[in-house]
Amino acid sequence: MAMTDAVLRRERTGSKFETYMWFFTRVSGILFLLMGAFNIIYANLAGGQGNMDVGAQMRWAFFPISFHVESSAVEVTPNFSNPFWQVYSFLLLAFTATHGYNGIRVILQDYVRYPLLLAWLKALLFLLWAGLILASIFLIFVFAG
Amino acid sequence: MRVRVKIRRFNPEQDRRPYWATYTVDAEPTDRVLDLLVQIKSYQDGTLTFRRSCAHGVCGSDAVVINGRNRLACKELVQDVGRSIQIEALRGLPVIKDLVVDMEPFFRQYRSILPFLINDEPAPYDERLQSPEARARYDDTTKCILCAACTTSCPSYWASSDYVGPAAIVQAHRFIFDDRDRGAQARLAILAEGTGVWRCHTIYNCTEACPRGIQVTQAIGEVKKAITTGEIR
Ligand code: FES
Repeated sequence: MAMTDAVLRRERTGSKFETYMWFFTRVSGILFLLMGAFNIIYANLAGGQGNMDVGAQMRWAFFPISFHVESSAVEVTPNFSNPFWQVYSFLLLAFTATHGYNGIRVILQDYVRYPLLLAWLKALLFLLWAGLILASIFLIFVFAG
Repeated sequence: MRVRVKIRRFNPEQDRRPYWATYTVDAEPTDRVLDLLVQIKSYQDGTLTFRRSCAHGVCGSDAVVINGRNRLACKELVQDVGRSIQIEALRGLPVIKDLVVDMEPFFRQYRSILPFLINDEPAPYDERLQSPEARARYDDTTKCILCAACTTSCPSYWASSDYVGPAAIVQAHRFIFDDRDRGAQARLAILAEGTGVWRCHTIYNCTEACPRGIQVTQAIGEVKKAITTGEIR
């Protein structure tokens, strides 16, 4: 392998991060649509039909919390009251947020030409993402839980 | 028929910025755009600069933007592009003069994916044999002539020339799916990095631009699949 090694020994990070993020984007995209659909179906089965208008149903789909559907007459339990809905809602939110923030990261990487500015913007984006995740953990598991 | 040819010209030694020059040329409908350029250079303005070599769509020297699309000037017939023709240099590469761009950034990306057969197993006495089926697997990507039409039509490449670009991925595909080659994993590792295939957002400009009709986006998709599944087939 003498020749091959010499040729292949090139500066390389060998990082799989981009591959994983690409794959995650496809999978989470499908997953959070299915999870949202399940939320809507469940809300209707649980008595939402006739009590929630379309807007409320949509809000319920992606973040099932009581003050999203305040106007409706439906009794909004479980409202994060049991661990299943807590984990479910957190996963849905985490998938959606990570999917979206990764999309912005890719766009920044494509279009920001100054390395320093790019590094700052990416750091800012990471903080926003981390803040959102932390806020959602607080909201779902501590505040409403 | 009379054809109006508008060419985006630029001479870095004289001009502060590129400008459009218009020429009127007598042409046959079956003339190629390259013939018009040759005619202008020979009879109207000797300073017009462009590249061409084979004049038959083989060498890949004369890719330019014709009426907004990346084409080989030697393959586009006047009857297909109309009486009013706009020609400019490829986008995304530095212009040296008029229609001539600096291809070095393009070739640097090409070299980065190891565009040669890698196989240190002792060669057989005569040649490394391959079945027709195995040869057919990567036939499409062997057609590439490195004209840069695809890479310079890609918005991801315009945005950042760190991206290896469709042409380099096509060339990598040509070796990755060649069963005589042993360097696939090394190439896949290069293309899995941040500057590799993930910069492709399946815009399909490259497929539209390729003068050889290579299914470029599909080839990129196959490389993406090989990276994610770890399987080459
Ligand atoms: S001059 Fe060779 S490809 Fe057009």
